[in-house]
Amino acid sequence: MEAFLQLAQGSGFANLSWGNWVMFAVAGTLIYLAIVKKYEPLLLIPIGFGAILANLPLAEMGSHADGIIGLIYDQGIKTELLPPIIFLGIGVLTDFRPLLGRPLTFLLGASAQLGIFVAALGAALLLGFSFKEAACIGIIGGADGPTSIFLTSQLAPHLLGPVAVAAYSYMSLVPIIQPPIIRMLTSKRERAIDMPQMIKVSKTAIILFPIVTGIIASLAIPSSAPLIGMLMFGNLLRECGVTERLRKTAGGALIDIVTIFLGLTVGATMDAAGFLIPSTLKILVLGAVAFSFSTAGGVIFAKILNLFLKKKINPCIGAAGVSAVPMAARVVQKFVSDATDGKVNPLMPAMGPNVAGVIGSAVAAGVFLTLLG
Amino acid sequence: MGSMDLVHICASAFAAVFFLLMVLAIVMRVIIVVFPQREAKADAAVLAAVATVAASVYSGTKITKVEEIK
Repeated sequence: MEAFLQLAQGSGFANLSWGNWVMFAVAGTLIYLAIVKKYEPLLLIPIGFGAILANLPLAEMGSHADGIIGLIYDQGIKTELLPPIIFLGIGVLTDFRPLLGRPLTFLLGASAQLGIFVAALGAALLLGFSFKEAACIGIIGGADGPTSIFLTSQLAPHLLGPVAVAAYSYMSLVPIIQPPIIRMLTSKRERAIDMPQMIKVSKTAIILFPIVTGIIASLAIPSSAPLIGMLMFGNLLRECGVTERLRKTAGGALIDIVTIFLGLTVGATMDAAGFLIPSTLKILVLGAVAFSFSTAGGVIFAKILNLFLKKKINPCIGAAGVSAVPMAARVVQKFVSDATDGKVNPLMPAMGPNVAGVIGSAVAAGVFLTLLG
Repeated sequence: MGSMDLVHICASAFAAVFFLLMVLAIVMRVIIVVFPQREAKADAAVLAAVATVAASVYSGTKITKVEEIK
């Protein structure tokens, strides 16, 4: 009997705190959203289950514990290994033709990073976060999960859980967040602008793009090289046409394996003691601010561009400049299509700023690392 | 660091992102101009077949270009 009691007292059940139960509820919500609402299931399922594992007392399954998850965290996140490999896969899966066919949309991808800097300023000046923490919170506005994880693991690893959850949550909420902002900032006439066909791009230019971009971006902002370099390498594998096996692996098995490790370890940073703090709520609010300003930044800059352009662009496509590929572009297409009774469907025009946003947010992370790291 | 430093950092970072993507846009525009997409040449057999049919219907007609529109 005494042995049984000793066993019971040494079990996880006896050591569960109210915080653990709250985190089980948070994890359950993430898993519910992933399964029922189909919100970013590939990430929210591993993150949700990782959060459950991290809150099992005595199991040593948190990212900061000595178990297997801690091992993956130390070797994969702290070393900056996993996010760049995700970028390799993204490079393989991304078609940059819509961007190259309308090079002007590079600028929309840049302007849609506005929310990163607005939220960073707000976090530091209004809510008392340190500069490094503020930069990590701001990067949520880039709507790019791996970039958020990459930057936060370097500058403020203690905020990794809340920042990653906010980033992926808002990415999945693009269809809810963006349309009201686009509607508020555009007129009916602007929404009906039908953009001309993009210029045709040769195979040579498509192959040169990842090489040139990788060199220029990495030389300009060396801290962005792990992300941009791998993104462009992946894209070269896609476009060169002679590395079919590598392309399939990088865009399939490899990115899936890394997604599992990344999601699980990021989720496992969400132990009750580190997650149930006032900062988490602030981060979630600031994430929404960042996302909204990024959307507005893209739309407003497109309107400014129209003041100087003979062939006007549909300003709604500026909203797709937040990364969240391809969801943001699809949201813009649906919004414009609904607003014009199906007469205008700017999916491909919106894909330009959308993929430019991936480059823009990675560069922004590199700039923050250079200035604050 | 003071609050003005963060304002400077954010302004500089935004400007850097903007400038870099603008440079990339210009460079890629130049590359696209330097390496334009060439018009696909019509297959010689197709050209000959079309020319033969056209000549049989409208004698004396000479086919110089066949364009495929998808």
